[in-house]
Amino acid sequence: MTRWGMVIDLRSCVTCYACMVACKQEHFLPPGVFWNRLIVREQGKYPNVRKIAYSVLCNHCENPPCVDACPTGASLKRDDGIVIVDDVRCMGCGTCSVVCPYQQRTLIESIDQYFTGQGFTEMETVGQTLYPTTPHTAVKCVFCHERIDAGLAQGLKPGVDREATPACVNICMTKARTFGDLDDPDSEVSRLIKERNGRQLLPSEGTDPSVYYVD
Amino acid sequence: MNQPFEWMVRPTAQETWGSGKGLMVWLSFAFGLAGAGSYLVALFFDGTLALLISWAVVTVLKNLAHLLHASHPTGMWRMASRPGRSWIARGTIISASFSGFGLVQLLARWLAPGTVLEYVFMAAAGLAAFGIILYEGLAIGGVKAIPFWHDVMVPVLFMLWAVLIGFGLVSAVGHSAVDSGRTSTASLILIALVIVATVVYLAGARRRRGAAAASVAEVLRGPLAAAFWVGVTMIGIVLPGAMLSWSLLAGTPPSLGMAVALCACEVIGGVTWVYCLLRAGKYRSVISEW
Repeated sequence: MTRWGMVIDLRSCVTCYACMVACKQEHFLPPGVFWNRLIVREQGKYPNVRKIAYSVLCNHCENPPCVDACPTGASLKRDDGIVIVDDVRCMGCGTCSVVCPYQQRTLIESIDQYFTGQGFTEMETVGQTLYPTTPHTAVKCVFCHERIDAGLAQGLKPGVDREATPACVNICMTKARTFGDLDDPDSEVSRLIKERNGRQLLPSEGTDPSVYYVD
Repeated sequence: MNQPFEWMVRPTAQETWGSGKGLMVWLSFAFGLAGAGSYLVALFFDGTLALLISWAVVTVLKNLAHLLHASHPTGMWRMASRPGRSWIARGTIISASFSGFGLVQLLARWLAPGTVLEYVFMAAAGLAAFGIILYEGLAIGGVKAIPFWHDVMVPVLFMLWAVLIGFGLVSAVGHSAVDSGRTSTASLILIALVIVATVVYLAGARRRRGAAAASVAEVLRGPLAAAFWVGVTMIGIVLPGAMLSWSLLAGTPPSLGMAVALCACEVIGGVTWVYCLLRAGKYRSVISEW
């Protein structure tokens, strides 16, 4: 069984924020909505200080608390492990957002304009056609499942072929992000996790995220 | 208060419930607490007016708050399909059951009092009222992501406040019919239990450190301190405790005015406690275990 996952190399990440921008561009996200973020912390005391950046996104957990908590069944986990939101079923209660320990869900109240008062730009208008966002629903990273599904249909391999790989992985200039099948022991992600002791965020929550970090 | 760059690096406040549109969640939990607790106590004292008022608080006010909060209320019917997974879904079914059973019970009380029909639906509505208080406490207490909420004392405190408010309402509404001595004594015992439970809860949360301790600091010394010390402690606990103690020691049952004031104080205390609980919830740093 396929379980899509990602490995992020903290040592290679140079905090260029390209992954954040690529994600926003890929999905035409409205202002203030981020599916992919960088959080930065300092480690150590002056003068021995190290800055570490963590690219955080929906972890597509194996035991997602958001799916269990959703009262209407709008949050669901696909067979390949990707957690998605059905915006037809979503009633905007925000329960999924509350129970997520990683805070990777956003409740979109309204679709705001990037240039307030000047109307939507052509790109924003096209974006609403290609990736319509329903106001008052929960949104989050979807591992670019539309790219994965389209790529698989053409016989491409996600994580290897760019057309079938998430946008944030493609854009990373230092190749800090790797995408692949966690259930395939020979995949690049599995190899990285094993050889470089891949760690998950908040393992005590019991969510078993599909996003690992190595450093 | 965190700077934007400290988001999820330091304990981060939950903002979905209890602020903005999430105030409706606070109100729905508060109305459920007050209404269901009052219904339970009113059943015990056989107070028809109190039963009616508490049924209306849940059926009208609590459900209205839920409807106002849901951005797509027409999809709420789907909640009936997921009682096995979601506390919110279970709560919706329990609340709807309470409204239905309570309505039949009240109608039976009016049209066919003392019959099996009334007693059966009275029991069913009572169970559902208990279920409302329980689900509210567990819906919040079951959120593992927020350490301050994920505590066994949360449903306990919900139950205590609900019953305390219930005694207050029954004493005020059925003032001439109930035994003031019994209700006053029961209320004092409940106030003592609320004090103990609150101290145990906050002390336990503070000892856990991290996000839970940050939440306690917010309640005791931070932006929520005024609401907690004035609304919960002074108005909700100290004032009613003092009035009831004086009444018992003087051997003078509370007057109607005092009973109404007591009820108002306990409602304010309980509702403010729910507000503080929701607003104080904080998430752990996502990198706290590294």
